[in-house]
Amino acid sequence: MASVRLRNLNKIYPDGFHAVKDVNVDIADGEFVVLVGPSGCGKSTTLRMIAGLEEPSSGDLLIGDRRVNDLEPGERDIAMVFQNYALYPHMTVRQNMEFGLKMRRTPKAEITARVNEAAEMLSITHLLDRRPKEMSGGQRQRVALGRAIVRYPAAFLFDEPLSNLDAKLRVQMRTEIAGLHQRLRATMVYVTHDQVEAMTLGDRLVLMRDGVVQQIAPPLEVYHKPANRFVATFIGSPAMNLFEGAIHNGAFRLKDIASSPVPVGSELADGTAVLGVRPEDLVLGAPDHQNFVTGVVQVVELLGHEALLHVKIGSQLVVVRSAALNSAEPGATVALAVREGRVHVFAGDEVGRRLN
Amino acid sequence: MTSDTPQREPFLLTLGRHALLLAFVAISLWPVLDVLAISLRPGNRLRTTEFELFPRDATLASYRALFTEQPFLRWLGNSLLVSTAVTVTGVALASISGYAFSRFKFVGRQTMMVSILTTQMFPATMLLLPLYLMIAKLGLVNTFVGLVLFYVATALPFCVWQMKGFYDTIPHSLEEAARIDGCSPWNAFTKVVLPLAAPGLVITALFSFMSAWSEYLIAAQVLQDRELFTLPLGLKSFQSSMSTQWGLYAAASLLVSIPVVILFMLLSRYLVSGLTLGSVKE
Amino acid sequence: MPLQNSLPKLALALIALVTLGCARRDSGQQVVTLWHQMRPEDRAVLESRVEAFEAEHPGVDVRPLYKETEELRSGLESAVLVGHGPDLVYGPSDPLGVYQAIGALRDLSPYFEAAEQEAFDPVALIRLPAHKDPTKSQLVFVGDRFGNHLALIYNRKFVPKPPETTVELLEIAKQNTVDEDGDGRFERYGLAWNYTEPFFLVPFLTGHGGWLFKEPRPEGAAEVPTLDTPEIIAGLRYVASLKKAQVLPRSADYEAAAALFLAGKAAMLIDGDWSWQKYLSEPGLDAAIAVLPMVSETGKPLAPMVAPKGYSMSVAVSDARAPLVAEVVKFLTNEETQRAFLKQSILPSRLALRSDPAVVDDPTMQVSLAQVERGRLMPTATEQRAVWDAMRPHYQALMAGEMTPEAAAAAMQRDAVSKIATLTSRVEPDATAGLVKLLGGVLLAGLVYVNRRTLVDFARDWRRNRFAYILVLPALAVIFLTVIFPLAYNVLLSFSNMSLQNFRDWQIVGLHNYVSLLTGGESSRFWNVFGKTLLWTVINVSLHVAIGVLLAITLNGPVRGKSLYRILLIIPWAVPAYITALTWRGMFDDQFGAVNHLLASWGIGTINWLTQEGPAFAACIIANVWLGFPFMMMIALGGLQGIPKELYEAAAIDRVSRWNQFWHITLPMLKPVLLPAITLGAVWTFNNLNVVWLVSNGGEPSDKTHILVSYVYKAVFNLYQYGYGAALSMVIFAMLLTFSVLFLGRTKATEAVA
Repeated sequence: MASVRLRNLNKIYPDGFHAVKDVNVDIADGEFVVLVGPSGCGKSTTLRMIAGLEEPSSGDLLIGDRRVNDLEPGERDIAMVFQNYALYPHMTVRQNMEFGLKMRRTPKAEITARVNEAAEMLSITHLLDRRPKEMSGGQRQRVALGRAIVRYPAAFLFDEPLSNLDAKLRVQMRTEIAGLHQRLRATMVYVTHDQVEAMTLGDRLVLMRDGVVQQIAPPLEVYHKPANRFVATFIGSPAMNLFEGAIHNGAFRLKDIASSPVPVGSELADGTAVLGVRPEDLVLGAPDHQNFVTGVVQVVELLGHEALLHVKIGSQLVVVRSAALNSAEPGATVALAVREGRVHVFAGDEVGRRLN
Repeated sequence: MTSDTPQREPFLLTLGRHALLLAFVAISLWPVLDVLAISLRPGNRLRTTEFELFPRDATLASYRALFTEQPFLRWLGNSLLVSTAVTVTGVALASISGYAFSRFKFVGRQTMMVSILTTQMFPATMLLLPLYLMIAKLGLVNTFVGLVLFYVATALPFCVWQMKGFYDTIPHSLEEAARIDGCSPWNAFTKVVLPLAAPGLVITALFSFMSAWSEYLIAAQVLQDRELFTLPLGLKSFQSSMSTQWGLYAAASLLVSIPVVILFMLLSRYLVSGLTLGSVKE
Repeated sequence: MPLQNSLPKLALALIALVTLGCARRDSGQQVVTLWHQMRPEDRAVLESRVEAFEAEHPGVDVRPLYKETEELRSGLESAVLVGHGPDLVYGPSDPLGVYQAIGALRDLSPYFEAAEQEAFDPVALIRLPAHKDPTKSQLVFVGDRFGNHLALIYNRKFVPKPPETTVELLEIAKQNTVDEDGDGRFERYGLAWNYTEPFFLVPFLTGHGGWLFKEPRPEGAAEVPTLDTPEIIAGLRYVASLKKAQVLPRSADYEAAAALFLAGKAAMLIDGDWSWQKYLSEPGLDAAIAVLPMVSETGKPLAPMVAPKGYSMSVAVSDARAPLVAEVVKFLTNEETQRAFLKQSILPSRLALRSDPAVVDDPTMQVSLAQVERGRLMPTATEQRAVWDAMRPHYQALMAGEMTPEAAAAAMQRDAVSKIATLTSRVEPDATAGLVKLLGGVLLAGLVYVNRRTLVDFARDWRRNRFAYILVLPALAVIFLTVIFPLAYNVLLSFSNMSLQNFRDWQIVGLHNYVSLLTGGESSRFWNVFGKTLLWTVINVSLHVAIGVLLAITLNGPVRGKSLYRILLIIPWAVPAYITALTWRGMFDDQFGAVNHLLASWGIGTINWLTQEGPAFAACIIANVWLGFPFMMMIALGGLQGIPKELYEAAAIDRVSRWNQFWHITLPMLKPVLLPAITLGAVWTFNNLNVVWLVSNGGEPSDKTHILVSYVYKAVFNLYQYGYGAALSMVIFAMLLTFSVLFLGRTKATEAVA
């Protein structure tokens, strides 16, 4: 086990595309870090640089205390699980799992022991003599995990390992990976575009966009204190509602629409800003409340244990999460209040840095 | 692959498959049976005016003469040696260079790929004179090395492209996995990618073999000694303007095709092995 | 896969074996190479005489080797250009003019004293003006026999007494042309011969008083053809009248005519001395030979061409070796050798042997001798080949009833004049010569400049992609080292005036060849053939791919016995194409071919496949499709293995029809594997000389079945226009290059999958 450190890592392709910009991440020994972001954000490239499959244009990569920039992938003591499993089709499951150890000239007896142990752990012992084409997708992904486990690597790298599985299997495998991490206590770097995976698996998340790291923090902190507008909307489902407006005297007012001021803290300077409120932090107004704004319900989505209300305010649609299933009918006019202390204030510029 | 898919085959479709295959088998064999008839005919008759599969006066004399009066076995040996050498060299060179063309974006890649094709675009008959001049100057007359070199050079462009095409169908993640498993780039290629390109290797091997096995023009320039003749040269020696020994020619032609068929039988297992199936899911 | 691991070892072992396999027997022996054109039947005699010579001359190794006409000439050309080639060539006398024109022959007279020469029939010794000094004459050829003369072979069952005049010939032929079952198709014909070659026409021309060239040859000038004289027209008219009287089969090439006679379906046959034994010894056939009849109107005999066959010494022989090589010639033309050949019914050139009992007592030899005495000596002039070329298509058209004798004669004469003019013309450097040289220099410099930038990139790229460069290097080296010289030589030649007239002293003359190719008198023909070639390529490749993919998909499904099917379907690819192409020609035979037989039995009606332009072209395509589909099938089979099954499963769940599965899954997934095969398949098909040449017998009917390469081959090699031919192949090259670049660019085939 070892830490993984990325120092000022850059990747510029020969065609000039700057895929990864100055990335700095410190991953502690045994930590589970998830790189998350929309497709094309550079998360996979970053992972592949760690693996040694891409050469960094500049910056340093450290695994443990070794600078690994110039090491072959095989010398970096890492294991990787691919989105498409990348099992060797011409080998049986056992051979697939043995391959990496054989390449490292591990003693035969140890290889067998490790393979059996990993197979046990993943309940794939009965599959050991099969070939990849004779297995289902879930089984293949288990084998791919097993192939990584037997190596006892310093770090595990996962490149969207679950995205080829159907929804049910995905949940199952997710828990399995989480369990694996708890059991192995290994350093894991996991790339996904799925925020649920990111939130549930990661000790810390690294949010990326256009090659730039937006925020590095534990999942709850990312959720509750998103560093900027992008992070705020990327994490959380349904996405956070954003209102454009301005701060005046420590209170936020909507632009162009009549609304009550929302106190955001007196330390914030006056000026344009964006107010972020998660759907669960917008509550349907009550007479005794200081209501923020009113709107017309357009659609009600009933999810069983809760309802999502799509409410039109001016020309904007906002989503309200309500525990009460019969709180409003489409067409009804509702007043919305903001849960106290649950507002996110972002700068009004392009980036939208968090202000509060 | 539809072999064991959930799609059930209607009876009519099965029937259609067999009908189609049988029709083409008939078309394939028909002229060859004619060659067989020529080889069995006494005298040197290419044509007859009768329709008969087996001549009434059929004789194996031509076959007998091939082995007793003609150095057929010697030619066979020479051809096997040359063709095997061409196959091994051709497959080795094509499999490695095709891999580079498929996987790496290096400077001049496209130019190189197109320019190796250009060597196939000159009508071969036009190049005979300079070819002979070169063979004579380099002292390659009557050497198998020279012959093998030329054959490899003529077979390579197709083989390189074919291998590149096959590698293109193999996902990159397999080599990446192998690299992470501790393989050098070379090992990742030979241990993981190459076995998966088996159908390509089979086609390349068969093609290289055939291009040497049946080649006449270059061989006639290089080999000037009957002892060193390859089969096509031997066959050609039964020919003569207006007085070809058709019986011998046809018999030898059929015998010449047997090793090709055997080779194909041996290799076709790999041609249809379907190894890449299920390895990855894109 | 243990195979991969043992590959390097296997390769090493093979290389060792190959190197050993060609270690020459280096015994300090003097080797004399002899390239000959003897019939297979005669080769054994030659070998035994060579052994006898070697027994008398220890330390000398004479190596006889059969070579075709073109190969023999290219060997001599090489002897001239680089001093490497055969020491001796043996063959008929007619190409001597060409050999002498390029300076390929050595004078044999120092080794044959006058007394020795007198023992030979004088026409068997051929002297030609020296290459360097035309006022001197050289002995360039010593004949050991006479041959190539045609005579009449008749089936005694039908023809008790051979005809003595052409009137009788027609009469007997008519009596023997019978339709026994009255179905409108004759079971037996009166007379047959190969009427695709004008060589077989010559007796009819000479019998009517005609000759190919004006006599005597004009001093210091080229031969003048006389193909439109009244005598020639009379000869053509007689031949046409035979055809019109329906005593000849509708179509007949050499093999077809022979087959008819052997099967008793032709009462009489005109064929050469090389073939007589075949007919005389055929069991169940009572054949006999007779001299060709007299022409009733002129009283002249139908006189065939006669040529001595013999030995010439090439300039590859050094002065030091010349006596030894001449010794071989002497031995192989001496009385004992010629006597050995008598058993083969070969007419000796030594006068003493003419009274040998083997000659006197053999009726065949007597007929042969009589026919030779009536015959006309085959000219050795270089113009002869141009005249054959000029005659062939119009003769074929005449026999197909598409031309009148007068029109055919006029066309023959016109073409002969123009071909001889081409043959004898000397091209001098023109204004573009300097331009070409300059442009060549500029181009080279430009290439270096462009590559300089690439080199810089390359150096930068080396570190990153060293592995890739190392992988491609060996293959590139092998490919380019072997082709660079022939290609460069060809490029140079295409701007040169290399021809029969300027064989050794050729020079860069500029764009002349290109200009005459694209705008000259033959250019419309060129574009016509080009169009046909495109059609040929497109149809062939489409059918190869379509059939190949269809069969591969069918074979890939759940079929019982698929491995057997697979092997049977690969057979057309495995059998040498030379014989199967000729078999296809036989199958397309108008009257006795299997194709027409089938068509007739299905009630479709028959087609004159080989004597009409469209059907002949179709026949070539059918044969070539047959030859080519197995290879495509094999590639498609291989390609199908790379397609994941899941794709079809998903498609089946989505209820995608089979057709759409094929169109949207199979085909796109096959693309990377099929593309190189299609591209190169198109290139190969475009340049596929053999099939067209063999099936159409060199462009029949009337040179209408040509694709560019066969056209080049015929146009160039028959008139020895090396420069022109090189230019044509450059044009073909440019066309194919353009096609490939466009096609590959379109299909993104060169892209690496990223």
